[in-house]
Amino acid sequence: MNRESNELIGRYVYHVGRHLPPERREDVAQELTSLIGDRVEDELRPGESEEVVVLKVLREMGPPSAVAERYGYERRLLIGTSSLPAFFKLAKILPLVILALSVLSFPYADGFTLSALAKWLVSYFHSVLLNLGVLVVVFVVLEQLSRTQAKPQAEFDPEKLSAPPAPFEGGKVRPAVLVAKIYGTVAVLLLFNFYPSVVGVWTNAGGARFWVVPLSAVGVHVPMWLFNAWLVGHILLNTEVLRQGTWTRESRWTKVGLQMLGLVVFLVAIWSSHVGQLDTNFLASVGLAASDPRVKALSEGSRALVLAAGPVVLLALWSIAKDVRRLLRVTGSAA
Amino acid sequence: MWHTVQKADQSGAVPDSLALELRRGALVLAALAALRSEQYGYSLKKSLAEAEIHVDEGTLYPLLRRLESQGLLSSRWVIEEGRPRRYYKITNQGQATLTALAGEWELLSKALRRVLK
Repeated sequence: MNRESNELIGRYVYHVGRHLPPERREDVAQELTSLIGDRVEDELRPGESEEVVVLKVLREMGPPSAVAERYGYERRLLIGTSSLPAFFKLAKILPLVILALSVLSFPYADGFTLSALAKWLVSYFHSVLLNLGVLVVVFVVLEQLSRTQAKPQAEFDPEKLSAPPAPFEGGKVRPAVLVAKIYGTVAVLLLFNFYPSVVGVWTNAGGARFWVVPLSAVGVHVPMWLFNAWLVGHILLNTEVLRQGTWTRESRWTKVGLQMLGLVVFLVAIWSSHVGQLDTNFLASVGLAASDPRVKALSEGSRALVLAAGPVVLLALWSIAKDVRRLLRVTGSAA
Repeated sequence: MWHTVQKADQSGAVPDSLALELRRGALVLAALAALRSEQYGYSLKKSLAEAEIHVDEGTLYPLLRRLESQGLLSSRWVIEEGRPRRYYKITNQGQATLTALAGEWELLSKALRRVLK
């Protein structure tokens, strides 16, 4: 089979795979490639262009989404087979994330009474059910939207299919890791935007069993619009990589860009904060007297942040440099 | 989709969906019977076509996978003429299912003949 034919088949098979769960893509791709090759070989007549026969076979097989649909049970499910693994993974992680948030928001100061525990449990299960419901609705809506977008392809033309992304060294993805990253990022996004009072330094000082010193009270100012843009960028990138089933040069560069943005967010946060400068005026602004026993914990938290800032910046720079060097090396060898 | 040979009669052509529904179950029987000897997907398609059972790849291949996941078929990859081909063969469980299905088919066929008289 010539290069053009192989390219056409490769494109088609890639697009079929995009509608399948990642773990089934390789196997189905191999089978479809073999099948199309057999058909083309069988239907090719002497003097006939191989490419023309390949196109004829692909047209007869129909749009990639239709072929993928036959490999699954898309019509019977509200959530398509390609989204089901991600849905189940998220549905498994969700109760754990909510549990972590619920543990953080438990009213420890009121003590561990039976009634408080019962209220907490009811609230936990309520949150899990509500969030699972939301998750189902989100996946169903996404599924319906993707089907609506796929429908108008009445006249399927295999020549118009886009080429698969260029394979990239180390491009293999681990879906579970990506899903965990997406969920973790969503959790951080929710935490910082809706529960900022639990993001900070935790201590059992000051009389209470646990006492949260919010980041803002330690003098940290987080530029939220920039921070949110950075987190949303991560969610979008990981979702796209999960959908494509591979890392590409473009997605790796995007990751480097996001790492740099993360560094900027961190530096801006540190720069515009009162970290390490907990003078009497600042303490008074957060309603604490210098003699307050909680100030010790606050000062320790603030100093820890200052000490952590240096290594964090160095680690981020090292990670960025490593990724850039690898990307440049791959680009150089491909050129 | 199974190609419907639509023979127009006095009441018109057989709707695709009805013909498909009627033949869907029979396709499992046909595939299991044909795979008593090991074959790869495309050769199976052709051997079925020779028996006037026309089925397209989009239906046949997912069906083979389903039967394999049910333990009725086994498969292995073989490199032939520089191309990997997946060969399917009926398993012992598949053979037992085939015998049972063939019996069901006979009963159904006789019953339908009586009804259609």
